[in-house]
Amino acid sequence: MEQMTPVEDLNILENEVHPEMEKQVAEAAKWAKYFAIGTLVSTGMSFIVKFIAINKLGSSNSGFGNVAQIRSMAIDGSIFGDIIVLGIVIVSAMGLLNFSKKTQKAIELKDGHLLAQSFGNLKSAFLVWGICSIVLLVFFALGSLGDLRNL
Amino acid sequence: MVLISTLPIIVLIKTFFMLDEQGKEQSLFGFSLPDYGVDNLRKAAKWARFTAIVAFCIFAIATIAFIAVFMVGDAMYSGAFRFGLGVDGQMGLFVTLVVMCAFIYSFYQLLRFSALSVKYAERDRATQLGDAFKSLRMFFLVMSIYILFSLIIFFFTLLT
Repeated sequence: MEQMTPVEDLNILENEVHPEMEKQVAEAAKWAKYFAIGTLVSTGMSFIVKFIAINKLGSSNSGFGNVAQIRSMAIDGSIFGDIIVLGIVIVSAMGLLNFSKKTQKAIELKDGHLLAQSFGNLKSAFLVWGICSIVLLVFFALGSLGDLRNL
Repeated sequence: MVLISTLPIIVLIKTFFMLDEQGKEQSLFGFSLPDYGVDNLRKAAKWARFTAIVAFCIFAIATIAFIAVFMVGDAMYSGAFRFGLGVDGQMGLFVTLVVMCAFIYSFYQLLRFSALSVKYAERDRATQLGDAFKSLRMFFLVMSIYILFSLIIFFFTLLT
């Protein structure tokens, strides 16, 4: 049997706080779901537009030799970057969607373990964001170093 | 004799209330949250804080860069850069400022969620968890509205 958290202060505030807490957690889960769906839709839309643009660019006959090669390399690099971005977006959005689904179910069923799992999903979504932030900072630092070297 | 016969009943009633009290002590949202749930929440809050701090740093750098670009542009073109923005330029500037304010507010809410969740995990104050999720809701709400507007602008741009 797992140990439960000691919530001493709840004894006094229990009746006043519980409905409000349930409401806040459920609302947060609901908006997390909207945010995740919005992120997926906007990323999907931007990729569709980008791929249409790439196809148009690829089918045009202008440019030859080195120009065509550079363009092809740029498109390949762009696709590689897009796949990474898409992976990050899908993982974080799935984390948020699972958080939302499990939280709403946990509140409905009054299941503490399901709520704990939903917090785990929230953690994984924020973890992905945090790792992306670190990567972004590293790229930013490298870019700044490159700029300083050019001065 | 009467006292002895009522003793089991008194014990039963007392046990019932003790059990009820125990249930109350460990209850959260009308049910109990396991230790690993609190641990997950603490870890989520710490990563949320890190993300929010990085976001604030990026905003600060972006603001400095934004001001620098305007100052350099203004100096190079002796005021023409600032006054030559036109209606579209001024509108763009206004929209940029509004978006930045919205982002700062949303990441402040994320930071607040983190701080309150960590406090809850350390001190087990139930009221703070409610406030924490209120902040998290505000963060997701502002970000969702931003995404909705972005999508509307995106479709509008595609159509025109």
